[in-house]
Amino acid sequence: MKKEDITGVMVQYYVLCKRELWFYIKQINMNYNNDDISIGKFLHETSYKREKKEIRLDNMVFDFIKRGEELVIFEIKKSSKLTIGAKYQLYFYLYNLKLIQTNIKGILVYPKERKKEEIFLTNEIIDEMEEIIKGILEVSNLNRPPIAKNQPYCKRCSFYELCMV
Amino acid sequence: MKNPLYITSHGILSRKDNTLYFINETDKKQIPIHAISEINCFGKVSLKSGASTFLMKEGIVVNFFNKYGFYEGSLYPKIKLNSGLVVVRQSEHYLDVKKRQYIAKEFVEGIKHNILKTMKYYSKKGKNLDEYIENIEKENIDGDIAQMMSCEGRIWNNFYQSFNVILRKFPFNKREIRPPIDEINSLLSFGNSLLYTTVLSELYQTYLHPSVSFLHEPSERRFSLSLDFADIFKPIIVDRTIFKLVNNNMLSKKHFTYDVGCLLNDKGKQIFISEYQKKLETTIMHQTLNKKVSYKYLIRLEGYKLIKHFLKDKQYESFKMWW
Repeated sequence: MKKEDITGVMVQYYVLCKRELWFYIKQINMNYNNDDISIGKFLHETSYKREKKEIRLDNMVFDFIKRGEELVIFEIKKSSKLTIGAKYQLYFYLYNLKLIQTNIKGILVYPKERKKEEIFLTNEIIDEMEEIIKGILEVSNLNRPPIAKNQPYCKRCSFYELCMV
Repeated sequence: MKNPLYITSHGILSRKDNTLYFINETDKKQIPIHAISEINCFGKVSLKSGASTFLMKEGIVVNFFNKYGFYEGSLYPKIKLNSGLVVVRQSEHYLDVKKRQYIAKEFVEGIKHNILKTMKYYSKKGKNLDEYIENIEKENIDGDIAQMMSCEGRIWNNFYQSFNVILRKFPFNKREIRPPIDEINSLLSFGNSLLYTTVLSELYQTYLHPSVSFLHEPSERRFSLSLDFADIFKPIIVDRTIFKLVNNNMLSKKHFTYDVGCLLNDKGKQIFISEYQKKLETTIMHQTLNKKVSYKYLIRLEGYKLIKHFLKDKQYESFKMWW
């Protein structure tokens, strides 16, 4: 895998679960029966209907954007629990865009909770992003999946049975 | 939870808008498409093209059985779970003799263990099975595939011979398949066909390729990995169902037709299917998942374990009853 092939989803997985990232890169996906995913998809389709959705740029897909004095990238999330992955996905987009435009921010929106959260790129985050990209490439070269660790949030994951059995 | 649909009468499956209907001489029934996992046709069932495409789109396997209850074939949707890596590794484990033998051995160990567990359960209930249990226990599973196969054969033979002690009626001497010559043979054939299709539907939910098998040869016409898996679960699902049906007098001679061989009639099939279904839905506490899983789900977990083995994640150990 090349650096240009890295997507926002991979960054999410890298932060939360390197094992799931490995499966994702190897195209093994267990999410086909997961209700949470269907709900998220439905929410994505039904919220912010007036905006133009899914803006594609290279290997990135933004849920929607707003342009004014600054460029704002939006990411729609079902719940404000466990958003660390989504946060880093946005950081990844901002990081990729920083060469094109400097005046830029990201916003995580939770339509169900009527909440939002602003996200800015800092120097520390830029360093961290570079580490993450290196890490993702390392995971993609692994010959076997990283060892399963049982975390509290594993229970709702659709890989749970595959990992724990 | 999704459940399989069993059709024992003759009729037509058709689609109107997004609803599936089963139409026969007397009735027109709606079939809730999202509530079924697979369709098993024991009667003469015709599928209109609308119904077939609808079922394929929803990823529902349709299995066909002939009038003797033997599996004939399936309408198998296009594979939705596709990982080149898994299939390549699965084939690698078939081609490498050592790797294949490891998996085949695990399968036979599983069969042996589960048969012994089943027999010991009846032995505790006062049936004298010591001789057969001893015979099976001293079987040493080793050598090449052919040797393991014959070892497996001897294990089954001993198990089948013990049926006369376990069962309260219907004498059973020898496994005869085509056609089944007596009641027990016909129950075994019917039950094994059912299990074969159940396993096939579960394999469809994994990334495994159903044709690449380890104990059986993949050159057999059927999805032979399904045969491999089914053998491990036969003692706890099929044979236990038969013991219950026979010993509780739920089946009698009037549920069979005696023709060239001996076969279950429609009423008999219905009784068998409903008991089989109950067995599949029985749940037990899983040791490592720490939650209750059904016997049916255990089959899928077996698939996951094999995938993990192929990906060098965790070495495969076949399912061995722990309760």
